[in-house]
Amino acid sequence: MTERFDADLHTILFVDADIVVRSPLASYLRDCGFKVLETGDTNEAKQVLSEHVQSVSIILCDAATVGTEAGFAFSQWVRTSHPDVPVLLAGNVENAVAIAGDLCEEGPSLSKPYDPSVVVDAIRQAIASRSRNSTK
Amino acid sequence: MSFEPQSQSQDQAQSRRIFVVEDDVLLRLDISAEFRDAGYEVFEAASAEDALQLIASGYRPHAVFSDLKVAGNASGWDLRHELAHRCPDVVFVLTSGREPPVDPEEAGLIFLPKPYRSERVVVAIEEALGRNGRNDGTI
Repeated sequence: MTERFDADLHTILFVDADIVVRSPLASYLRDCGFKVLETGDTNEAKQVLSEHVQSVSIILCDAATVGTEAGFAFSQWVRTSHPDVPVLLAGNVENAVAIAGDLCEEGPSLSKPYDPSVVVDAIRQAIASRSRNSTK
Repeated sequence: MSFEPQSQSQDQAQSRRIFVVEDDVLLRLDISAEFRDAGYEVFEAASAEDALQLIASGYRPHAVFSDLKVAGNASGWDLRHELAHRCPDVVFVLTSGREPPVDPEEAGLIFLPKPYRSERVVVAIEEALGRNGRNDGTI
């Protein structure tokens, strides 16, 4: 049986420094029913998490985003500080693999430029997977 | 759904579009949510440069709500100057915890001091758009 998925119950923290890329994808995600909190760097994202972590279902983050920590380091920090919040990293695979290797991380799970429907599918899967794990 | 900036005709069918320019992310999220609840399509920027980048890529706001001091090298006042050339019909509302850089009335802009009540900001923008005859969403 197909699991029911209510997008309007979920909040995405979306971290991407490129406003021309971030804004239309954030609008698309809102059109799909999600609540979206936009930030331009990982410092802002940490501030948002400190205030809204209870309501954040998932983080979508550009691997090459700016801030005190770039995407991979930020994702490591989230896994330690907020292990219940999944992080979807997006990036150019060739560039990202080198950075990920330095940090012993996996490469990005989404490629850029973003394909909006692929992003939505990945978000749904990640949230559904988290829900399944939390009920085990 | 198209992932490209919309054309003028598509845009006219959309809700009113506002740019919120504020480098305090929590404040930006709050006021942006208030505008969305009021039916606006909201674009969020931390700097004047980001707002100008959006405009350069094809997005045209009906209104801009900007803090005076924002991230980057340009201020909200610089943004207002730039928009006076690029989008002269845009409703511009400036906010700050400090005194405005000029007499708002003489400069033809709306100034709302910080701290502000989000509902008051939305009403001020509504009124200004109404005065400019743009409450129907047309530019």
